[in-house]
Amino acid sequence: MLTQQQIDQFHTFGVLILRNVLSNNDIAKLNEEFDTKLETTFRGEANGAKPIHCSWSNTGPDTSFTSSLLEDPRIYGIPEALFDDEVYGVSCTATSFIDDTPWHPDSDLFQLHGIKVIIYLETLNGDNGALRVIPGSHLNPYHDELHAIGMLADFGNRPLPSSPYLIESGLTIKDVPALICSVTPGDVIVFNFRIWHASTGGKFDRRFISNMFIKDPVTPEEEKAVSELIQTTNKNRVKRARETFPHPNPEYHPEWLSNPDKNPKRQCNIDWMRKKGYFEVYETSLI
Amino acid sequence: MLTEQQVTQFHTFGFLVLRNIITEDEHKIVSEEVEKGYANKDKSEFIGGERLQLNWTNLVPISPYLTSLLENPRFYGIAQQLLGEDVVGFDTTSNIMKGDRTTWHPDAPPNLQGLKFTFYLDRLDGESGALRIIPGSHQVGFSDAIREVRLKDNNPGPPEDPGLAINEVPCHICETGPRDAVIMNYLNWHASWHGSSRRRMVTLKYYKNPKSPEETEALRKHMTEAIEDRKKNKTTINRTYSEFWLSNPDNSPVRARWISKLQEWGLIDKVPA
Repeated sequence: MLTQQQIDQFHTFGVLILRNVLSNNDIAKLNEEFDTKLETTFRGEANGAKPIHCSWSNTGPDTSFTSSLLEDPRIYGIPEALFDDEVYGVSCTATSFIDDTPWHPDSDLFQLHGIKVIIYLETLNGDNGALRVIPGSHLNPYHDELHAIGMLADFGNRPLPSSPYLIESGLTIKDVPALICSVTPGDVIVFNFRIWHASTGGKFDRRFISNMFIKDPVTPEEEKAVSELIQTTNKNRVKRARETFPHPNPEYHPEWLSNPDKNPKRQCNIDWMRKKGYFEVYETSLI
Repeated sequence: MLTEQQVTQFHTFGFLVLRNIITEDEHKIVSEEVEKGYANKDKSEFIGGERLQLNWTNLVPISPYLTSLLENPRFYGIAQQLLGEDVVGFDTTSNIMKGDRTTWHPDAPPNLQGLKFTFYLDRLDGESGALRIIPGSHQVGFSDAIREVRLKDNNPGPPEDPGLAINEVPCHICETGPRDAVIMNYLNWHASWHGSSRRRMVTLKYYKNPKSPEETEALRKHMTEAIEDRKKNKTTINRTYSEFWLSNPDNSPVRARWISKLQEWGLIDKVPA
């Protein structure tokens, strides 16, 4: 699936771009499901009635092709190649973005080995919202140094969240040195949860599918990090759902959990998540 | 001078792009001096593998303005701001690159404290030879990890999996205009891709006078290699200093101090009376 050089590159830089992993037909199906879901999805507002991005879980029956990516060897084969230990697919979400995404990492947990495999449904470059990542920023001391200088966006800062460092410097997202991940539909970007990333210049309804994978924890520290992740992710998803749905649904739809086609990969993921307490946490909050 | 945030940015990422740091008039003078220098050079002296680089020092009588820039407070002052007061101006060079690429490399071994200003004098972007830098790669751990990555052009893996081409390495592309400069820590990994057959570059180079044993050892090692290289290859960057510059005709105290330091480091055998 990945060459040894690609594996080494991923661990050094924290990011990999793989070209033409999905076909045009796949992208058309993803867009079709995305359209269906958007029609029934509420886009919240903030900052004086400005629309904000919306996001949903793809485990529902309307998006069965999208959620099957977690069980597609073209996708799960990537994180599996990166680690000797087992890796499990724990979520597949879609997001319709608007505006910029300020600089942030998805996690600061150094004992957590999380991988995102993401797919954009349109051609993107540095001028229209391509993902920007700071290569190597998943590693310390670099990762923490970016926190120390104030790179993390203050999401309470309105009208648009920005990093205290950028505000003080009079700089913008694009002034931060970074790799611009230009992509065409069918490409996938793989990144470590800890890498610092952002985007700028994207138009309304920039479409994004995110598949999250976690390496099986083998030490008590790694185990603790997975528990922390479950709690944090749940909190974030609940908040997001409040902004997105008038009538929230479960993050993991009962039909998906029932695994009607008895897909062994899905079952494996479900069993692992059950063991790790995912469903205990998530069942308390309908999202 | 730099703002506090620019200083932070330099130390965090190992480089900084300064926009329009030279005036249009200065750009004209600098370009003329580079062309004069190029006209003087033996064109058989292009070196550097794929990059096909011809370079020469600007510390010579035909480039008085470039010579003066090394001591100009606009640049020397910034070097002091970033490296501390005790900074030594090492050289200013002009370069013509005919090759379309420069492979990934840092300029110096770990612990060496120094920086260079680079001016490309023409507008460059990712498809025309702009400087590519891996931000943060001046940090030892990250730099060591990059050293292990297989690079098709200068650290290849096996033929069936040779590694990354220059333009595949995750990096920041420094798009620059004719009057811009990039200040870069010598330890940062950098490269270029798809350059034209006549890419111009001017550098101003500074070193921190080493303080710690590690810095002293790194400088000693670097200078020893530079001196050895100079003995072997008359066309390398590490040439001898001209009598013109060493004579310090304006009795600049800054230059006098630098000359004394360069002599101490073994780069100058004898200063003319």
